[in-house]
Amino acid sequence: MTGVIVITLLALLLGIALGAAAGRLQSDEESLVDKIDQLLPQTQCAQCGFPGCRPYAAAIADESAEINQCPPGGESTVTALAELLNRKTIPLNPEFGVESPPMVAVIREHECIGCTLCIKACPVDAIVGAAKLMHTVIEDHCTGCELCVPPCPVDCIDLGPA
Amino acid sequence: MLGIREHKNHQVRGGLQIDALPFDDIQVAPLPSIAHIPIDSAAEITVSVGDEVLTGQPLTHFSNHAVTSHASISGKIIRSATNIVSIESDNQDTTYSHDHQQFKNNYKAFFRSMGLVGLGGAAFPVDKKLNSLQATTLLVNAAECDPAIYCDEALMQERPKEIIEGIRIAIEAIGASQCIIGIEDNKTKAIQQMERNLPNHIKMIRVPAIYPSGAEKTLQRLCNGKTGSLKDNETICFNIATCYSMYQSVKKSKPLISRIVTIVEKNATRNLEVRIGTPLTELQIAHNIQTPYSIICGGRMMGWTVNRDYCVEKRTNSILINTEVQKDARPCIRCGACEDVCPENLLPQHLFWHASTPDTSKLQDLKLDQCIECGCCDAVCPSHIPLAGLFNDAKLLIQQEKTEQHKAALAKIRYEKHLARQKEKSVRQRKQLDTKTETLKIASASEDAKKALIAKALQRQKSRQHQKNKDLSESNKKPGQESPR
Repeated sequence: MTGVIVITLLALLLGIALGAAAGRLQSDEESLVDKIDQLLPQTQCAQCGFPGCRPYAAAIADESAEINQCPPGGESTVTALAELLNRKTIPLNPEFGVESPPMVAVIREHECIGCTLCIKACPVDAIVGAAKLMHTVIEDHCTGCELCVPPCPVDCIDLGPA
Repeated sequence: MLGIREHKNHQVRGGLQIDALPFDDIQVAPLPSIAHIPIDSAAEITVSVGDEVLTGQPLTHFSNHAVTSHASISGKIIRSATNIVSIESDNQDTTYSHDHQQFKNNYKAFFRSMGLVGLGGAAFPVDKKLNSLQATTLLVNAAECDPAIYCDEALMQERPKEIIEGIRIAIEAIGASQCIIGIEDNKTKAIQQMERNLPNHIKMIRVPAIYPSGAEKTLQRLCNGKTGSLKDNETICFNIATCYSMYQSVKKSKPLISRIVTIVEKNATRNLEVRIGTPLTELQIAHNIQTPYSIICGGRMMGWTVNRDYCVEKRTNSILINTEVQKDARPCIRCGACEDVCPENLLPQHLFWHASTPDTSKLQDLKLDQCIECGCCDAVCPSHIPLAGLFNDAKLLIQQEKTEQHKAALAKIRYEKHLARQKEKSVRQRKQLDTKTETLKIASASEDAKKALIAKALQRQKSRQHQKNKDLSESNKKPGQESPR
């Protein structure tokens, strides 16, 4: 009888401990994604093939993506990621783009027709404007991700050096 | 290094002891034929090309964001750009009379309107320093900030009464309960002159004449060593030349239109009282030097090279003619001399090592931000490594990194909000679609249900019309009020 009680108690205790450990492990993985996400430049440009910096960070964390797919971050980001993950530094993969100086989008305002398509496309809410009224880019907020360029029906958005 | 090796210097723990040169009395420089007055970028210029101005006349509007600039000579405006105004002299030097009634008892606004900035070298606006609310102590910096600058020492030797009057004004402006003057102990004549006129409530503390005693942080620490009463956020530090300009503005109604500049040449060291905006070409500098030379502004240790077109600014405390050629840097031999002389007790050798790698976290661990860029390490380095310059670059890099990180964090927050908004929208659309599908399903089920739905819709329409009419009649009763849509 004592044996049964002891085993039951033991099983209960171990169950609780395992449950706690599972929770702890999960939060560890979470914090790894967070750490990777911190090192990414947050342009949300999707050049890496993922819809934003965080999804890419998650993909790096579960090792389904390489660390050299972020052109805006460039070599310095690859180095920082390699150091965090204890991996070898590798050159930037040119398939995803090449490193370029920081850019900002500029709307040629007299050509803008006020269609609001770029406003919807901007991942970081850096474009202000209203329907049928001129739009403009808040330079300080623009990350130069280029996502506003393709939707523009009148091609009035240029990318210039920041 | 900027001529430092030509002089006898002794390395001491935490600085350099450098023999002072003999210098002449203050001479007034001849009136320049043209003056290029620098203008604060936030200021709005009031004059235009062709206007006649008088000496001391304000060139910019009084504002809360910019220190007023004044004409330093009388004459005609020949150029007016966003950051510079050029005046051609009429050789009359007629003085403009100021009206100060509006600034009565408001020292901050008054000093701003008189163009007062710190004359120690950083040109920090005086009124901004006065903004510190908890200040109870005035620390007067009477230690030269550089071993090759003598303008403050000359001023103390010749105009001690005016300086002390200026200190009194500064105490009143701050509302300070104590005042300490920190002076280097090798300035015997200046100490004598000052002590003769010093009132009882102002203490004078002699600090060792070791460069960089005149740096604000170092001076405060040195003075604190003897009294222990100076706290960082309770102390305001003014240079004695700044106090002198306070005297000039309050008692003589003279805005800051001239300053004392030390001119160091191979054979002579002069102190000139120069009008702001005077081009170097009019100061008879280096007119008989044959060898190649460079002009260094701001002192031998922390100065920067300027070209021959340079004009005297409010921060120009010295002009130095340097004939020594800078030697090429060789690899670090780890002698540790830099660590001995560093006044902030940093490890320049380690900092140098880490400054050449892209990882900046080590630099921050080694407290790079505490470096005052005094250049002591440069002066003693046997390999001629320009350490202070490298540290300045590294500081800028760290600053830039921090800004980028901050920007990225903000972008992330906006992106998360953007995503949340998109999600909310899609949920809302889904809900509307579901409702519609449900309604259509009911309608297509039976004829009665369809009729009931139409009746319901008509009822809704009716009540809406009724509400609208009611609103309209209400708004007609109260004219001037906009009817709701």
